[in-house]
Amino acid sequence: MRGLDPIFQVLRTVPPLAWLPLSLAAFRQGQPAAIFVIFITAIWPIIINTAVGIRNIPQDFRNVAAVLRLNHLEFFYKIMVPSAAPYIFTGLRIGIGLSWLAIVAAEMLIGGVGIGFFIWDAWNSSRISEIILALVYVGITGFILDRIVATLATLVTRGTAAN
Amino acid sequence: MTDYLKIDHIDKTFVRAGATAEVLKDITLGIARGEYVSIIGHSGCGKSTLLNIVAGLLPATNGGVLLENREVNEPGPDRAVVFQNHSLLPWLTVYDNVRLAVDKVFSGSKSRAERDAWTLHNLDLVQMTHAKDKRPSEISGGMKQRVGIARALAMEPKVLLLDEPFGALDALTRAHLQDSVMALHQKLGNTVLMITHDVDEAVLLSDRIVMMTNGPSARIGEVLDIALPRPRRRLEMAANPVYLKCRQRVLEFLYERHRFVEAA
Repeated sequence: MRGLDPIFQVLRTVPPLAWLPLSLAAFRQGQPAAIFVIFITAIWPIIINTAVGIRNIPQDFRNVAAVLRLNHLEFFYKIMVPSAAPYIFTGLRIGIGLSWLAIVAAEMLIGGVGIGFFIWDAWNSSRISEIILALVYVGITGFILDRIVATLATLVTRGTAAN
Repeated sequence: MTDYLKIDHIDKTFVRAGATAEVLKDITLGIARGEYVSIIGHSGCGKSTLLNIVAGLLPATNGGVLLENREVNEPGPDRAVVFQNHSLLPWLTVYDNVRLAVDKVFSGSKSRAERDAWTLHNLDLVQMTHAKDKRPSEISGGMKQRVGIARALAMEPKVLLLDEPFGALDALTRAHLQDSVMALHQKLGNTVLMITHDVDEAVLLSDRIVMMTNGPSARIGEVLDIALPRPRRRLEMAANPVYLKCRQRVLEFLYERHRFVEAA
């Protein structure tokens, strides 16, 4: 993980839309290209946070596992996953925010469908009030998505996740 | 007397970035079955390192640990540890924390129903049955430590290792829990090795107190037998001449002959 970290950090800083031309070249269709852009944008915070969560498993829990002689599989399910779950969900929350951002941006460029295209279309026909309405809509949707993941985190980690 | 648990000529040296630090030097200690031995010393003298070596969580640089004449060099449920900060898994209930240990240790030898009964039995021993469905974050520090003790006892360890088990508790809770541990030791006859820095606690609970010199290169300075009959009662001990004399001996060792020198 430590060796791969620079690679992740470099890939993470590439802006979502910079992936789009490459993605379009590879997939030759708008829809899968957009999905790839969303994927490549959202994956990094999830990976990085998961890695941090696993690195931060308290030594105490490792000691408990050692004394109980948990094998690798038991350690994975009984200590590693629950211990890293709050971090994983933090990654998911950042990921879903970024993917929503990428969706709107990709739709603007690809065109034809979605709220991103709606905004661009409104701009082209000078309907400023519709743009403002769309921005409010995008913001509220992003907020609701974030709340959904946060609620899911509280349910899954049984309250041990820091909100 | 053959020793049940034998700590044999243990040295421990930590090497970090080229610098070596000798923490423990030539520690030899035998513990009989059913004996309650405390290790006392100033902070930083390597008490916890020694306990971790016995637990198998740290390797010794030289020497070894024998349990029933067999060398032990990796952790296992035969040497259950009660950690200073309880180390309960926060996502499991009290019951599930103990059950995890029970399931792991007795997976082959006890049926589901027996494991359930054994878990409840151990929670009952530490009077925690009432909170069995609570999570560690919902119970007090003393209660968490009780559950930690229940988890360790549930493994039916040959030796119970207590790493400053009452260190993080307030004085009243501590006294209460000490009485509980004393009663459990009386009832179950466990072999116990306890790390502590509390003189009264050591004298009250132990059959023998091992006093360690200050580090680096900490050694066993003195071993004191506590010839007090059991069961011991806290209030009676306060005026017992043997108790006071033992207490005096430990205090002299710690504060006159081996004063704690604050490292710069």
